[in-house]
Amino acid sequence: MPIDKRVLRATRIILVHLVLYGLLTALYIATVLRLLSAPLTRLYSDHRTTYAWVALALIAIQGATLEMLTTFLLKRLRLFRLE
Amino acid sequence: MYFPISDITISPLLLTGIGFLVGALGGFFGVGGGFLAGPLMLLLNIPGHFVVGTDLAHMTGNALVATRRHQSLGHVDLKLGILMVAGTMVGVEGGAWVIEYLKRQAPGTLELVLSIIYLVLLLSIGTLVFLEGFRATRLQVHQRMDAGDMLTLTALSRRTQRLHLPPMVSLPASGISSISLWAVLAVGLVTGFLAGLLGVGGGFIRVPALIYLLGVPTHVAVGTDLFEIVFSAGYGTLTHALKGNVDILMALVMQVGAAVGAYLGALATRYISGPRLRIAFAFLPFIGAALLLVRLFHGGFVK
Repeated sequence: MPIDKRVLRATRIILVHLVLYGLLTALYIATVLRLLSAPLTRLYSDHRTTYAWVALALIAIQGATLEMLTTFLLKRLRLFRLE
Repeated sequence: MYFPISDITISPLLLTGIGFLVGALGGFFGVGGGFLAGPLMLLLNIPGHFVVGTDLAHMTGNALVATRRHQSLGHVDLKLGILMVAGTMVGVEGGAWVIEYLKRQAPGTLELVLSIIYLVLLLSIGTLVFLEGFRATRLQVHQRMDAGDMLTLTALSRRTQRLHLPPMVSLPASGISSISLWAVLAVGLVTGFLAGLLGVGGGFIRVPALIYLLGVPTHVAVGTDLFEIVFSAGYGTLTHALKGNVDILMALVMQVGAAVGAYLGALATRYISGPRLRIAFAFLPFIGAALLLVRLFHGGFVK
C-alpha cells in the first residue's frame, strides 16, 4: 500500500479514536467516577489497606477495559486491517 | 471537578490531556513518563505528596494498556520481563537502602552528589543511544536496507550472550537462543539499583540496557520494559496508597486519556524502524538532563 494511503488510514484511525473516546470519556467521568467518589473517599479515610487494594484493582480493570474497548471499536469500524 | 481525596478542584480535561501525553510517550518509548507527569501535576497545584503516588497509579494503568498492545504486536518477551522484575525489585531496594545510609553519613551534600550522578548518566545514555541510532540509520540508507532493527553497537551484547555461566536460558521472543540467567538478573539488578538510588522509574536506563547489554531488539525492549513497569509501578502504587498518597479518582481520570495515548503510542512503533526509534528515544534523557539542570541552578545547589 502506498505510504500516503497508509498515512491517511492511520490519521483516520486516530481521529475516530479521539472523537469516540472524547464522548465516552465525558460520559464516564460524569457518571461512573462521580458515583465512585463518595465510597472511595470513605474507604480512604476509614479503611486505608482496603483502599490501597481497591485502587490498584480499579486502575488495572479500567486499563484492561479501555484496551478491550479500543480493540473492539477498531474491529467494528473495520479499521483493524491497518495493523 | 472536585476531587475530595486530595481536596482540590481541577478540570478533568487538563488531567486527561496530561494523561494522553504521558501515555503516548510511554506507549512509544516504553517509559513511565513520570519525569513529565510529575512537573505537570505540580503545575496544576496538586499537593506534592499526592503527585508521586497518583502518578504511579495511572502509570500502572498506562503500562498495562501499552503492554497489551505491544504484546499483540509481538513486542513483549514475558520470560525476560519476569526475570527483569525479579532483578529490578531487589536492585531498587538496594538503591533505596544506600540512600538511607548516605543520608545518615552525608546529609548536606547527598542531593547534589546524586544529581550529578544522574546528570552524567542521562547525558551518557542520551549521547550513546543517539550516536548509535544515527549511525545505524545512515548504514541502512547507504546500504539500502529495509527498515528494521539494525544495531551497530553489538560487541557488548555478543560478549554477554557468549558468557557461559549456568544456568542458561533461552529467550525466543527476543531472538536469543541462549544467555546466562545471571546476566539477565544482573542487568535487572544494576538498572534497579540505579533507579532506586536516583528515585526514578528507570525505563530510560533499562531500555538501552536491554538493547545494548543483552541484545534484545528495540521494539521488544520497549514492550518488555512496559511489562516490567506494570509490576514496579503497581508495587509503588500499593506502597503509596497505604501511606495515603494516592488519589485514585484523579488517577482514573488521567488514565482515561493515557489509555488512548498509550494505545496510539504503541501502534506508532509499527511505523518507525528500530534505529529511528532509538534516535527519538535519545531525546528523553536529554530532556531529563535539562530539567535537572534547571532544578540544580534554581535550587541554589549551583551558583
